[in-house]
Parts: sequence; C-alpha cells; structure tokens
Amino acid sequence: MEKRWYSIKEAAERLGVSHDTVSRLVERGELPAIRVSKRIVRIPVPAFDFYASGRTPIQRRVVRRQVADGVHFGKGERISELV
Amino acid sequence: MRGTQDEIAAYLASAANLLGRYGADLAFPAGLDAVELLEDSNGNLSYELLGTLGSQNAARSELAIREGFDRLGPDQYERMRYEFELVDRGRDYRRAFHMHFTDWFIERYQVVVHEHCERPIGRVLCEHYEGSPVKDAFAGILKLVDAWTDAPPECVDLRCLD
Repeated sequence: MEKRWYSIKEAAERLGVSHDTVSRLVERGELPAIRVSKRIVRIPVPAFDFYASGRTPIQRRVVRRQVADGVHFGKGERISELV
Repeated sequence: MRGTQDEIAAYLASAANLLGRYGADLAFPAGLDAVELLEDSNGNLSYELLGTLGSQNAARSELAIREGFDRLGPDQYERMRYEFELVDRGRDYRRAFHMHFTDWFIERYQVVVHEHCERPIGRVLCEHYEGSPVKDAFAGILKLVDAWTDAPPECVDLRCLD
C-alpha cells in the first residue's frame, strides 16, 4: 500500500533534523500538513517530497478571459433536472 | 465571501500556490502556464483547477476545484457555488463537497451544501449526503488532502439526504 503521510517523527528522521524543528516548520506553514487533532499531525508525502526537494512553489499567473459560459458546475450530479 | 475581481484573481493564485505546496501537479489549459479566471456574458466569474496527487509509482488521484462568483455590482462579486472533488483511483473511491443549484437543494432537502461518497467509484448508495460548508478554496484543499491522507471513507457512516 502506498504510504500517504508521515508523522512529525518520520519527517524529522527523513530530513535529519529534530522533532521540534519539524514541528516549527509545520506551525509556520512552511511544511504543509494536516492537523488531525492537537497531538496528531499528518504530513502528506507529496507535500513532504516537494518541501524536501528544495523547490519553490511557482507563483501562477492568473489570466482573465471573457467567455459566453463560465465553468460548468454539476458534472458529478446524476439528477437530470439539475444538469 | 465577497471581493473585487483583482482580489478574486489574487485568491485564485494563492489557491493554486497552496495546491503546489501540497505536492499536487496542476493541469493547465493547452498552451497556457497559468490559471484562468473566466468572466461569462452575465459578468459572473468562475474558475476550475484540475490536478493530480500521489507518487509517480501508484495510480494518481484526481483533484478538481471549481468556484463561481456572481456579480453583485460594479467590481463586486460573491462566491455562490463551489465543488471540491477527489477521485482516488488507487483506493477506488470518490469524495466530493458541493454547493451548487442551491435553490433546488433548499427546496428538496432544506440544505445549502451536500457531499458525495462512492466506494468503489461508481457505486452510489446515496445520491447526496449531508455536509458542512467549506468556507473558501484553502479550506477545500485541506479537506481534499485530509481525505486523501485518511483511511478510505465508509460511505454508510455518512447521513444520506435522499
């Protein structure tokens, strides 16, 4: 089964830093994580890999475009009167 | 949630940035390395962010984020609809958090928002589940990543609206 997340302890071991250092990275939002409860934090593996790679997130440009119809909502609905 | 067109464009850029920081690969419209904010003929705004999440060695999960903002007046918009979708191919389930067709949902179920849950994908025990409002794209992205890192859902444990 594909591993989906690391604990703070696992992330610290992988980065070769202390538990407290990873906790601070999470608290500052530098390492994106999911706080499940006060004590449990899940660090998604893709987020960890991105952080560990040292890459900087690309700041995406937003292009504005005029269209006749915007985004189509309700693709996942099965009720014919809605879609 | 309300804002000007510039504020919504900045919000969209931040949401795309957050997805990237969570390690999602974003798909962009052909020939464009940017996200699009669409303005329709009624002056309403909408966008769609599509991406994938997961390791290169496993079936990647699909993410979709859509939000729509209705024009209230000159350069003033309010978020009126959203869809946050996760299709987890590796573990074979779909979760979705929706606010759309609100008049219909209020009339039919007396709710504004609803959720979807399919496990395995395509097996629909209930068309619409009770849900909680998702206040913005950042909260929606957290909800999707939370679902992705969590154990696969037990759809029968959710409250069916039908």
